[in-house]
Amino acid sequence: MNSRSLSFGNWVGRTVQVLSRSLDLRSQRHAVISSNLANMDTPGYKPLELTFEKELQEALGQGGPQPIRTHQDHLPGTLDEAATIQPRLRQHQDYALGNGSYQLDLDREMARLAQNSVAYEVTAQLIARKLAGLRLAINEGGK
Amino acid sequence: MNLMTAMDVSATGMVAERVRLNVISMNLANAKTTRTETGTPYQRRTVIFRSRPMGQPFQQFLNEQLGEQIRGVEVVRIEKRGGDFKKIHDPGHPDADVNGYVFYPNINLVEEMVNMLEATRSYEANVTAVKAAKGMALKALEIGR
Repeated sequence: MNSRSLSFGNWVGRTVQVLSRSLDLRSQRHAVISSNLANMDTPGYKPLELTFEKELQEALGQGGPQPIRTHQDHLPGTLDEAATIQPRLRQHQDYALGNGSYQLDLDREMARLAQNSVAYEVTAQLIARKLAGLRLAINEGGK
Repeated sequence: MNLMTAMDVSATGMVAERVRLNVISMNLANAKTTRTETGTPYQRRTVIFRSRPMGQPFQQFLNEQLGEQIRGVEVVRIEKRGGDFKKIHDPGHPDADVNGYVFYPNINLVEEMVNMLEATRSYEANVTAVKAAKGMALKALEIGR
């Protein structure tokens, strides 16, 4: 599944590529959190955590030909890797009791759930805005 | 469709918690039942939960890492708990033994109520997860507007 084969990525811009991958990852994280919540009362279940923030950062900063940055505060230019970011799934250490067993903290998990869905909605909104901007350019451009 | 999988997972959680609530209600309703088909007083029941993988094998193939790890929950069985019945002296009771003792079920009302609250909270957590998934999916639909 190479997203570069979707040729429209070139004119829609890479922002949308990154954002849609981010949507994808957030919906996966939501599934992981749901799984933790459903198994809250299952003996021996080990809560999981899906992380991708670091991977996203790394992907934004490396890979492919990079434009020269003349200032360290400039944004890195290559975002192609973003579409292939692989999240990391591991046992949630925040809930480890230290003796090999885990105890899910309901409030904390609900907070993570809320945080994730708000972030998802923000990301979706950003994509919509970006596309609305393009639409405006298309509509107004011919006038 | 991860959001749909997430909703399926939450649904299994809700089903399991509802079974648990039913069993707790059964325990509460039978707290004073001295007669059952087996001849003993009613025995307290508890549900045993087990996690189970979600999704079709095909889906799992598509998404190896997550497919196996996203787990729903199911009720394995409903277990009878031992017969440590409460022994109460009540010679007038029709089920009293020769010494005038009646055996009542081993049900602690407070314990059942606490379990009931716990089951309700777990159920609500799953409902919230479904609502969040729905909100997210609707938000994603708005991209196309």
